[in-house]
Amino acid sequence: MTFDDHLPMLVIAAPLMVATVLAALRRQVPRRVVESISIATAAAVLAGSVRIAMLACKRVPVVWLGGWTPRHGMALGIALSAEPIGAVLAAFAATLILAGLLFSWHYFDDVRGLYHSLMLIFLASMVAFCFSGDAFNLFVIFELMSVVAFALTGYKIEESSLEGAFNFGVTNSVAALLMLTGIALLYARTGALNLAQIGRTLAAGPLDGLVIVSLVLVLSALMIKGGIVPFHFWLSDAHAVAPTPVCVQFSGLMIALWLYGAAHIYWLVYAEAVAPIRETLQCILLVMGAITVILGGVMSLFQRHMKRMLAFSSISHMGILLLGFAGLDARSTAASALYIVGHGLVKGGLFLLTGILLHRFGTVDQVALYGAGKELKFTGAWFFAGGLLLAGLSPFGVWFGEARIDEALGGIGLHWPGWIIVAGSALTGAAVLRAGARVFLGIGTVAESEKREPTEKDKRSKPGPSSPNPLMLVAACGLLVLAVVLGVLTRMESLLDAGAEILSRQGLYAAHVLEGTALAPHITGVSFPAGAERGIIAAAAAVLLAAVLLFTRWRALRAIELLQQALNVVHSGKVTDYVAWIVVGATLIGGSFAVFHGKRQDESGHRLSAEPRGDGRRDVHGRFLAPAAAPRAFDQVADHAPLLTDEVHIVFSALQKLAPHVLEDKRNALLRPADEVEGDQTAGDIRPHHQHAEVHGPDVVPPGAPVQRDHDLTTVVVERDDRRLDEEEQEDVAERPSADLERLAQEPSHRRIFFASTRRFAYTPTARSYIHAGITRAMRVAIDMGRGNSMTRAPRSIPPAICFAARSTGTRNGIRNSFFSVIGVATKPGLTTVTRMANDASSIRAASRKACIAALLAEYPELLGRPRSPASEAIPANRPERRSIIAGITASKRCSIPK
Amino acid sequence: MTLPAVLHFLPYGVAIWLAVVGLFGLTRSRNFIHLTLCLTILQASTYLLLLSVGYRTGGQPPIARGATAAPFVDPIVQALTLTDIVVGATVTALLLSMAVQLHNRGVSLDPESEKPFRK
Repeated sequence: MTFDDHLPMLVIAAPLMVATVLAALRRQVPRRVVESISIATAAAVLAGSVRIAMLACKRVPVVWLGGWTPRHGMALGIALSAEPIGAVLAAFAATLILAGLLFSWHYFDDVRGLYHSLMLIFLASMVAFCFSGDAFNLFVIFELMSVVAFALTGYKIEESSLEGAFNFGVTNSVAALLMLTGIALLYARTGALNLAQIGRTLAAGPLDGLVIVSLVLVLSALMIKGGIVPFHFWLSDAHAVAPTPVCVQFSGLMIALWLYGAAHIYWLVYAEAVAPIRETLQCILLVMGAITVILGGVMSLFQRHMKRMLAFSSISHMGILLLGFAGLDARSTAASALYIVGHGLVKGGLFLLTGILLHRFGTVDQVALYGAGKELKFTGAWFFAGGLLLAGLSPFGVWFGEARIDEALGGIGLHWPGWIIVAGSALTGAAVLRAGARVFLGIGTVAESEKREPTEKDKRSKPGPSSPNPLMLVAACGLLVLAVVLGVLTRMESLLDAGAEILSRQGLYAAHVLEGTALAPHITGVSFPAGAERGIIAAAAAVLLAAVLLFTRWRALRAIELLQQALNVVHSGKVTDYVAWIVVGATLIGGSFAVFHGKRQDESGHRLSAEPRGDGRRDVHGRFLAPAAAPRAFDQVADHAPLLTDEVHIVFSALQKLAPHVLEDKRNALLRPADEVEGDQTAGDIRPHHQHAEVHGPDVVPPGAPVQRDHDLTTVVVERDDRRLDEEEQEDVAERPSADLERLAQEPSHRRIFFASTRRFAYTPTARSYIHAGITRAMRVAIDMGRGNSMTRAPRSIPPAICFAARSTGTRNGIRNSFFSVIGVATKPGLTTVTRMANDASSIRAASRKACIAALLAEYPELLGRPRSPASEAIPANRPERRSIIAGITASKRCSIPK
Repeated sequence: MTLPAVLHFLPYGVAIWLAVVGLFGLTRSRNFIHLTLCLTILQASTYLLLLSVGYRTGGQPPIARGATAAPFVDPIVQALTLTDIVVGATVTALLLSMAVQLHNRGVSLDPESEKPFRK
């Protein structure tokens, strides 16, 4: 173990220890010493996090606290895994804390040492959150972060700050308890707390109510903390009253980090397990995100208290972040991470500039400060720049994230969120620009109705110095300058891309954490994002809107008045209402799953009731991966061996009929409606009976090699084209050029890990959810079967022939065959294991699991005490038809290995 | 439904009941201290849920010394519950201290009272 290996632990432990010492010695040590020590600590954490990010470029560091490394793929200890996105966000957290502490140097007249301790603990918990790989540990960190945040919010101990902190405390505690309940449910199912382990076990088990309830609970909890409508009420209360350097942490990173937590948990825990309801989830996230963007933007226009205005703009931007995550693929996750950094820098800078106003004038009320800021020319200029940056002016800070999100969502056929993003940026940018125009330029009208509005009574302390302290300006402008030059940091962006790529490969990531297979990010270059014109449009719209708001009597419009009254009623400031909204929101999320999910169950009959529920612990031991872990489990596996080819001939005949007629470079045949298919009965066979086309593609990982799909065997399967056989003799697997077994044998002994069974299914024509998401059915099927879905990158590993076979057995000769369907598993060219499954619904998963185990045994017969034999020989010689069948499946593909 | 089955589901039922009662209290409370206590009731439901998840019928305490052949109840969730209690105590203490501070400043502890910082 070297120093680097311990680094993820150190960057968490160091600030905690320093914080404890500072808290103990705060009365003995002068204030400046305390401040210097805490700033130095934050800088050290920054350096450490950057170092970790650099390490993560080569290999994702995983630290098991106390040396409790996993045995046989079972995690016992608590893991810290510094995946690249987490490392970048940790470094960003340290940057913001550093800026906050620098700002605090002159900001507080009298500050006790506890403030710095709290800030350092806050930093430690944010970093720990970024690195945590354990569900319960995450909960504890959440609570630590929250408690420190409550304390910091109420730090000034004034009436309003206490109330804000109380609302914050209650709503976020409810969130934490929802989260804990979700974690408890996950533990009940999986018997695991390590995120990777939970994910692996969930993916192998059934998708039932328990999984969905836990998803709803965890998602709601993180959305409460992330300030998504209708959970957002606490946010504006807390942000308006917290000390400014603390607001920077809250708005800049804390809430975004919590939303990122949702994406993180989704990828590590749920991605595989909830794939069948992915569209529903996407729909919910998109709708909530869009509402949040617009409502937050409108509310920020109605505020005259500048910190509340910025708080609502943060809510709006969290909506944009949620839209990004709603893409549910690697690209959009990377884009969202980039957006977190861009937004955090700009919002942090704006809060600090507002803090300068508060320090100077003792209030941040736009109306009271009308024209007062004329003397602060430099501050004012930066404030306007911040407003434009917030509006997403290209090619700077926030715009990069927005453009990437837009790109990623456009890539999966979602174009409308891009315009929601533009609208949200314009609204929040306009709010900031209008505030700037009033305070720093003294222009525009103030409506009578606005003057009458109640506002927070800031205690007007003695006016500060006439010119802001340089250190404050350095902190504030430093963040904005970083935002301006964000586009130059392409290294960070490519690291985020690589990190999202890692996250999105749940199976590989789990293997890395639990089995120690090497997992290195695949760093690529980044191109300049498209859509610069949208940035210009948003910024122009913000300027225009600000001008309209400044010089017209828009508030006098009856509709606006009514809207404002309604919103004021809703934003009541009463914590009891907030909790009621939480209950309503969580119920709505759960309800929409129930509605859509129930619908889907009706449509595809058996989809979601795959397996009897078992005891959680038994599931862990009996799960699919067990064969690879312990000798004892092989006995159980042996029981499954006879399943290898039983009754497969049903499939074979179907396939043999299909092969000459259909499998001719016609992937499109997949999509051809049944009535267009010509003539004979075989054509009828390929009617898309999608619900049967469920195929598991095992991942194959060469140990020690950097894992890139291009080099592992799965890709070999992937890259084969549909092709009919030219010669009769090629039907024999071993003679086909494609099944180059010798070459395969030269590869390092491939370790096959059948984790993360990749479930694929096509969609019934009436499946609602993706139609709502704007994706047509044809395209959806193409994504799943043809080009590969960026969620798992695996579907292309399903040879289309298997899909054909699977589908064709559903209906033969136009008559629905209610007895047989097929599951096929391709482990490498030349060997495809096919397993029968009864078509009576409930055993899809069981059948596919058997197929995978059978494939494993075919590959490693010595596991059962038999001599090793070439893969193609694993098929009993006395059943030649099986061989031909398997040849039939594989022969329709040709191996072309990209080198 | 047999008695053992009822007893098996009873803790889950109670946990759900506690959660519902706690949430109801949170939405209807008229006093910050009462509100904080409702939060602890909500939290109690998580203790019960965690312990029920780890319980094995006929199980024995997870202590290796002098253990019999009966299955252990899950020690992990017990540890989680302890941690949860500590976390809950922290939050409760903090919220109560805020309520006291509000009271000392002559502010009404009724969450329905007029708020000083709207807009």
